[in-house]
Amino acid sequence: MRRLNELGHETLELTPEDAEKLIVSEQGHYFVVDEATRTLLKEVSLEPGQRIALIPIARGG
Amino acid sequence: MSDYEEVRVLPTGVYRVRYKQLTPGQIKALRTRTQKKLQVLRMKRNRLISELYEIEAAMEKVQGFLEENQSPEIDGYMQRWESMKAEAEKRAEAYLRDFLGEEGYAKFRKAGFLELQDTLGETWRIYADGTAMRWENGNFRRVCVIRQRELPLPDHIVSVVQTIREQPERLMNVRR
Repeated sequence: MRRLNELGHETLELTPEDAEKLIVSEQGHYFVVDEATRTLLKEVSLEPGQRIALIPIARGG
Repeated sequence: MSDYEEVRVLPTGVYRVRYKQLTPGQIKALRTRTQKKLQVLRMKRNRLISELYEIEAAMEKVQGFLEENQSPEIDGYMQRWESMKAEAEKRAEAYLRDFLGEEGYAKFRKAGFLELQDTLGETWRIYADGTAMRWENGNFRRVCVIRQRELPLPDHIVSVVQTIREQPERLMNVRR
């Protein structure tokens, strides 16, 4: 899992379950994108070996 | 004895001088007033001295803090941080290139902005400095988007593009 943040693409190797937990806890802050297909994942259901990116959702001021 | 007055001519001018005769009671009162005045001045001096000590102590503390901040250890940390930021920028730039595709990335870097339409049919522009604008009433108007603290600029651009593509309503009602 790649998370775009101030550390510059924090890379995490997680089990699908742990990744799903993390995604749920960050819901509303990040878009979850499949790295291979570049598509937005609407549902949090991951496969082993799946590479995803968490892209911060932009906020207006 | 009574009060006495005289005119004196001095190099600096002509003066009328009055001498007031003092009674023993007035002399005592004058002494008391003078002693009080001296006391007030002593207190003022003591306050200033203690303030001076406080200032000196504060200066020493600040000086110490400054010296600690200039240690080679901290300089090393800052250098590592800067190089980490530079690496982060590089990775973010590579990701932006990947995210936009070679052609889209080249167009973006050449034009200095990226133009896209959202799902609501609105036209947006995202500039290379991260500024976002939306077409409205014949003009591109600036939209205020908060850049996440320390997020590399290319990542901010990815974030804004992705948000416009997926959830443009989040940025619809914010204008600078």
